[in-house]
Amino acid sequence: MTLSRSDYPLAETQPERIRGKRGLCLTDITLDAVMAGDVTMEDLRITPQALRAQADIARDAGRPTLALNFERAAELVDVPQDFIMQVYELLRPGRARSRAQLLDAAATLRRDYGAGRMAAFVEEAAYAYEDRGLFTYRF
Amino acid sequence: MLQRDFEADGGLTPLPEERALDLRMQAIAAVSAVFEELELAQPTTEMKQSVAVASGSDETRSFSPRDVSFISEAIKDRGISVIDVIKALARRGFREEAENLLNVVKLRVSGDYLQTSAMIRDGKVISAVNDPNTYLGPGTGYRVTEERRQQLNAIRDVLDQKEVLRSEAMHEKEEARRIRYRSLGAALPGTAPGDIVIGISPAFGLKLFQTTAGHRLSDVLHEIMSAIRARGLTPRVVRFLHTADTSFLGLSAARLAGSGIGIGLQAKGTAVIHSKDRLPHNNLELFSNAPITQLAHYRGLGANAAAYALGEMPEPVVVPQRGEAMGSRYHARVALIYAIETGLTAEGAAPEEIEVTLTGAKP
Repeated sequence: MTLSRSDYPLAETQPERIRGKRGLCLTDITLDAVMAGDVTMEDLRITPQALRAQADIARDAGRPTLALNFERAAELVDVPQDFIMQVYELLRPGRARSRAQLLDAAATLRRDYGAGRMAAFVEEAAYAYEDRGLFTYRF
Repeated sequence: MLQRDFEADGGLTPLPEERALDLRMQAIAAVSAVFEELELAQPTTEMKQSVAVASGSDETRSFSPRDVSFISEAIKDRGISVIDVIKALARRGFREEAENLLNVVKLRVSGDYLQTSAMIRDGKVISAVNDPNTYLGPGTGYRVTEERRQQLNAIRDVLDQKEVLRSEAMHEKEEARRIRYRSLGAALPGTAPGDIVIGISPAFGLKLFQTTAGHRLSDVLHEIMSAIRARGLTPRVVRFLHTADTSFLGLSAARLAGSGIGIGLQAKGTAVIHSKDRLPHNNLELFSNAPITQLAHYRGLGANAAAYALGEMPEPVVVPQRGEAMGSRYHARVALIYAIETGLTAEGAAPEEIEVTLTGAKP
């Protein structure tokens, strides 16, 4: 189901439908539940579903670019932090020595994590960096 | 201040001093309770009291960077998470604080605050999605309500002209022992090639007595004048009353100077060397950062003005800047000082020749 701006903010319009990875919804997360030990960090992390819902809302609000950002973020939820930081570092000017290094990272994103949109984004960067001479070693 | 004076509602609501102090004490107690409950540290009473009333980090007696790194390591090693902090708060009776913290963390689950221009008000998310910008030109868009205006006006620690004048007046007596300004009537154009005019601002030495760097105006004048004399030229002080603008003080001074070289000097310490043949603002040298300008710099400025008058091309005096963000720190005071200066100006008022006598400090 595609959401629209009238569903925003999700936490206020449908708190029982916003669920964490283990299925706990926002109304289940109370101080008493925390004290009883029923809430874990896993319940306090955003899910791909919630990020895609925000993408729908952004698109309906006339912000397609932000919507794409949310959709890429949804793909990154289950990618290990270390790998995200590795790619992030690689995307800084002068870090990657060649287009191939970025294309490799894109391939890993697509193959190992099913992150197709994110992979396409890194590929786009690879070509843009080449055009702008950002592969030149700087330090 | 910006909120109040420009009605740019940045979302801040000033608190009465007492309420702010209560909140600070409560916050310090809550944070200390978490440290103790999680056995991370034992903040002392002295530490807690120092941070409650500190104006800056120089005044706090807190954990040393070394202590802090041990605490950080322990948090990492023991895998302490926000859930542990929420539990610690609640166990120590800070239930409201625990609820608040939990609500902040819950925001992450829905991601509503990730939308454009989002902020949280009373636990609810407002962003460009549910509160879009309706600005279509002057008179449209967000308007401050009367109630909101009252809140913005109730800002604490207001610095007003009275306060600035009061703090300046504290230096008045001391300056009276060091320097005398005597008006000799209308200032006339000089003819001697060694004549350099120092154009001072309307309130200089009358209502304002020190630069924003804290230098006495008598010392500043002494440095500039003796540096000019050291080159065998004659400094002449003229008070301008038609402008308080540094650049125009300098240009007007240059036009009166037999040498064609003038120095513009505001009471707050901003100074310029101008030549009579240059366009306004196209000065020879400028000290724009009065709060970091030292007496030696003013001496250099006097020496360079003399050098220009002698037809030399001296190396401009550099006031070293170390990236200090001074704007916000001095903004209010400087705006008020300038208002005091312009308050004494009058359209077309003639410049006054001033006899300056440096008497030095008498015991």
